[in-house]
Amino acid sequence: MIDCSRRAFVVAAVVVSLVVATTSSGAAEPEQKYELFDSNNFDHSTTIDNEWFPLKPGMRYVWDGVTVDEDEEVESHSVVLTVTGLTKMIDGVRTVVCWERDIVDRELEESEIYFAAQDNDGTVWLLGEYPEEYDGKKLEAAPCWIQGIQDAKAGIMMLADPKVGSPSYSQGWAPAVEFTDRGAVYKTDEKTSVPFGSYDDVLVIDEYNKEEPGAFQLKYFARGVGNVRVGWRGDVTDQETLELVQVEELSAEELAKADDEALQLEQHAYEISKDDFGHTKPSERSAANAVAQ
Amino acid sequence: MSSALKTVLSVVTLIGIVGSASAQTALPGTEEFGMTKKELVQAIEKVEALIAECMRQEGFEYVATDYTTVRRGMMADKSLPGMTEEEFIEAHGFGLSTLYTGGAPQLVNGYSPARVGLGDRNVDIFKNLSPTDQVAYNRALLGENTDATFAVGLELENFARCGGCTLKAIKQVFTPEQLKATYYNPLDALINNDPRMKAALREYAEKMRKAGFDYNHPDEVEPDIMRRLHVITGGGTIPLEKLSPGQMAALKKLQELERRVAVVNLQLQEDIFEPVEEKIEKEMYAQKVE
Repeated sequence: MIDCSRRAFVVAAVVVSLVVATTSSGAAEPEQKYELFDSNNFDHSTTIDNEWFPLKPGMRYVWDGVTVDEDEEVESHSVVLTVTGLTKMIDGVRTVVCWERDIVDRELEESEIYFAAQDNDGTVWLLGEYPEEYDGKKLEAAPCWIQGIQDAKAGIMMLADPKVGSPSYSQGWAPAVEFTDRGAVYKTDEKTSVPFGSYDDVLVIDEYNKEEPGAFQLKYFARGVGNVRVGWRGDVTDQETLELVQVEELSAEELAKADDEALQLEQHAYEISKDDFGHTKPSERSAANAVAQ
Repeated sequence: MSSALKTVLSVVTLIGIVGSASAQTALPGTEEFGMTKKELVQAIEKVEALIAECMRQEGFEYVATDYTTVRRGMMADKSLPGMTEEEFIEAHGFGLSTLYTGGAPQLVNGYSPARVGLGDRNVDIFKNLSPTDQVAYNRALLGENTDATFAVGLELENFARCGGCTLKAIKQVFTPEQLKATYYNPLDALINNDPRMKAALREYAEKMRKAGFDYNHPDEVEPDIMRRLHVITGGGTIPLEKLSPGQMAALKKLQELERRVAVVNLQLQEDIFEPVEEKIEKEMYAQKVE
């Protein structure tokens, strides 16, 4: 699940120093502002089988929860992720197209496509995203970024072998849209229960960015499932909690429909984000889905 | 909360701030039943404590639910994870006959605003009872209508279907006026009294009739579907699997009607009411700022 709440409207100076920061664990250590991305290290890039972050085409995940703001107003919030049957070439790497929708207080607040790939070591990478943010039915913003375009750099969605003490990592670096999210392994061997199931040996990742110092989003990952819970700690503006409530494999017909929706969003991306998206090739249906069409 | 009311909340909140500065005009609160947020939280806490006390006297355990849980129950109305309100209505109408189970809300696995508003602890307490005690428990807690929890009544701003300890507690906290089935939130009443809104309601009724439905106000639709559902299901007491073939056929027909009317109702609300409400809001806001 991609967190876009911390991304678009933050008006802050983009930090330009190459190094130096304090990691979420509190230990001072050098921090690369972005990851070194090697497009030659992706031989089977669309097979995303990292045990903490599997993305299999045709899977649909639903998280549900609430957000409590500073005034203690409670809003319902759910997120739906569909791993489509589409792939898209970005900077020489074939990526899996994921389609995610954020529903807040029963209205669609954001719909986005993002592009994920797994390298030869098992690390899952984020190579770009096109999010549309809405106010009612009106498009408010579309802070798109794509690896290799306008200085944007791919980031890590999940380490191949996450361990406490591993260096923090960039989840993507896109100065043009002020996207500087980072992740760090916070805890391992945790237990958690959500409506979809109960899990031991849970990995907790701390997510944060430079625009909101002291605020951390916690993401809980279960082996073979992926993200099962979202929580928070620190000085956050909105206290967001989400739990995995549903995982299902779409039928061929449902997947084809999801692909169509994602393609529509992509078509819009070509119109709205010409400077970024205009430099990419269109997504392609997988062979199986093309036949189903 | 009605969509009509929801749309004015942000502006009315601002008006409230302006108004409180001068303390000249007593504006209704922005929450259900015209309460302020603080009043609503206090009302929920009082009602929940009274329900727990009443249930104790009836020989049952009930944990007073907190504000956030009750609010979640309210938000669960016409809502399923991963669906917008529009998608929900297209698929399930208002979620009344379409998602009917006839079972105790605590035992429903899918859509159940009533279950959400009761909170996990009370659901667990209920599940640990024998089937006979479960029936007695819900009769003590909710009376005849087991879907009419406090959170559901609060969301609808209508406690007419509540019963048992829930109604007893509500009666000690809410005014007799608020307990009437015909009660209107002061904010809704304010908007409904505007001549432009009255004209919009006439247009709504006319377009509803053209679409084949005899409703004069959006607030008439859901109670009518509920009434029809109760005729078919013996007041909502017959489990879905125990409905006769005739009842099942009638239910299917009602479900189709519910889906169709809910879609038309939503469309008309968006097309007719929202632009009018927006105008009224702007004027209210401008007047108060002056």
